[in-house]
Amino acid sequence: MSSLDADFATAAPTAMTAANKVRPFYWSLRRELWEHRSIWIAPAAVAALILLGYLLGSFGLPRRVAQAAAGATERVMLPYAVALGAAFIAAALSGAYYCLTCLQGERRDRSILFWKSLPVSDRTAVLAKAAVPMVVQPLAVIAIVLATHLAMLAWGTFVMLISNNNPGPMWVHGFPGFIWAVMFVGLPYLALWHAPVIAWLMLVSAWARRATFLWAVIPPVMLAVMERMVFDTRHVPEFIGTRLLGGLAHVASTGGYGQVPVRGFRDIDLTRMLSDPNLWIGLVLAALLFEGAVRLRRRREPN
Amino acid sequence: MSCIEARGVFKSYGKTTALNGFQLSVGEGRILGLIGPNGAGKSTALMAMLGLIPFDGSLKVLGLDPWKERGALMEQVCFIADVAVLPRWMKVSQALDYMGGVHPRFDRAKAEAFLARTSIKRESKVRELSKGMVAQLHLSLVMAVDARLLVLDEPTLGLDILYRKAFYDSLLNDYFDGGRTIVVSTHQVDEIEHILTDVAFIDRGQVVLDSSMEGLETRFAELLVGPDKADAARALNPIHERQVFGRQLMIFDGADRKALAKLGEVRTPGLADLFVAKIAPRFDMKGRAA
Repeated sequence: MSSLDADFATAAPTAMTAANKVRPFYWSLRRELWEHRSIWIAPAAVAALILLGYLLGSFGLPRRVAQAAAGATERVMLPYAVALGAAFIAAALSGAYYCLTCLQGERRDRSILFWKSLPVSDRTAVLAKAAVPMVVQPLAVIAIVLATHLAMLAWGTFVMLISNNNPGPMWVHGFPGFIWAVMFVGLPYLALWHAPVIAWLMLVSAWARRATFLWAVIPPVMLAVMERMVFDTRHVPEFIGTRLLGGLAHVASTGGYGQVPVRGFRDIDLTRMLSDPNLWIGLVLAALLFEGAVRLRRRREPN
Repeated sequence: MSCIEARGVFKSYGKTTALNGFQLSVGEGRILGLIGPNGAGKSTALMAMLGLIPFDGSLKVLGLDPWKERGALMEQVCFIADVAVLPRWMKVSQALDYMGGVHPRFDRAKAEAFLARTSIKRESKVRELSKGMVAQLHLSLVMAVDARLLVLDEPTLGLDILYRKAFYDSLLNDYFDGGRTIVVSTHQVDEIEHILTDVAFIDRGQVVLDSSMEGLETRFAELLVGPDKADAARALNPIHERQVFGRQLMIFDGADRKALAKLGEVRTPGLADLFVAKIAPRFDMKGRAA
């Protein structure tokens, strides 16, 4: 620290300016992205690793394209699907971690006393936090996966050319258009489907002083165990399982039961996906849990 | 109109009563020092005024109920609760962007002007700044807001004396304009004494003394008296007495200054001495030390 800046004390006030145009939600969201960069860095890093694997394994590409041209497209499509799946899983894990930290962290480091000194309501703050896993992360994963796929296509074209093959069949038989369709439909759908899980994690984050992960996991597990012991039924684990995996079953398999994986455009069935009452039950539950998180944030003091 | 109007405010945490019929009225344009021992309820009172905690009783700040109308209140009220509550990951430039983006009365140019007088760099993160610099940054942000009320809860705790002095000088010279109200709580009573217009002593969740500084001068007197006249002085019922260099220092509440002047040197007691006189009896230091 150089000088103590004695003239800090003599800074002359400047003229008043007109009131700012404020955008509390937008800036609350920006502030989340400043603090929690792992929510997009994690999927980007994983996608980069998958891309590296693709580059290293590309000597087998002409053979896989030939197989695809003969009708067996699985092997040529696999890297695209893996890039999407891996980026999604990385985003889901970093998103879950984000949800568990976002409301507890600001109390732990006492910065809540700064956030609350500004005219941003608790509802705006909580909704901005909820928008991170529900809006920002799906968009980030789409952008990351598209960039990865395009890099794969470009490199693939290059490999085909230098190995004296025609890149045309790769673009015809090995183009991930259907995977993009699954992604564009699936990621927003999963964001809605997982809303109650996101809301539950944020509620725990707003409530627990520490050990948020344990508070998020142990009560539902104990509830399931108690239910089994007392009533010998399994409604609780089924309910939780549906919230966690039901959306994925709709997106990645036909019939929504996880048995037959989706293979083409014809397997994407929006009517079936949107008419599942579990989606709407989950959204109602999410609204209640978010409201609880807003109220807790309002009441909780820094720990 | 009064800026803060608290009547019979109660707040308890489990079995601990933090505010026990808290009563306070602060007019606009005043600088009030809220002074009390640890655990007296200062922070709780300030948190209630800022809408950070629910409470029982009647409390209006700028005519608003802080608990129910915090969002609206925060457009006109600024506060620094505790030192170093700025998020450690935040860059100085981000803090300026964010304040400008959410606060309708934040004047970024003004904040930049305050920061230009410090050695704080725009690209620094809060975690890279010293504690004193974080306090300077926070004060720069807060002073750039055209607020009607500024609440400071131990804003200089743990800072060295140079930073503390610069902090309060800056507050008085650059911010206070006679129209704004400032409420400040601190332990470093003697350092803020000269900037206050009003003072409130708080003990065990209640305001035990609430007066303007001029009011204190007329009400309280400090007498330095030799041992020969000590008994005569004691007959006038001092509220506090201690020995200073072989003489007795006594503090009187509402005594006739002329009568005191006959016994020895009469002055207006400092806030720290007055604080000890009003609060110390229940701590019973003498009894325990003996």
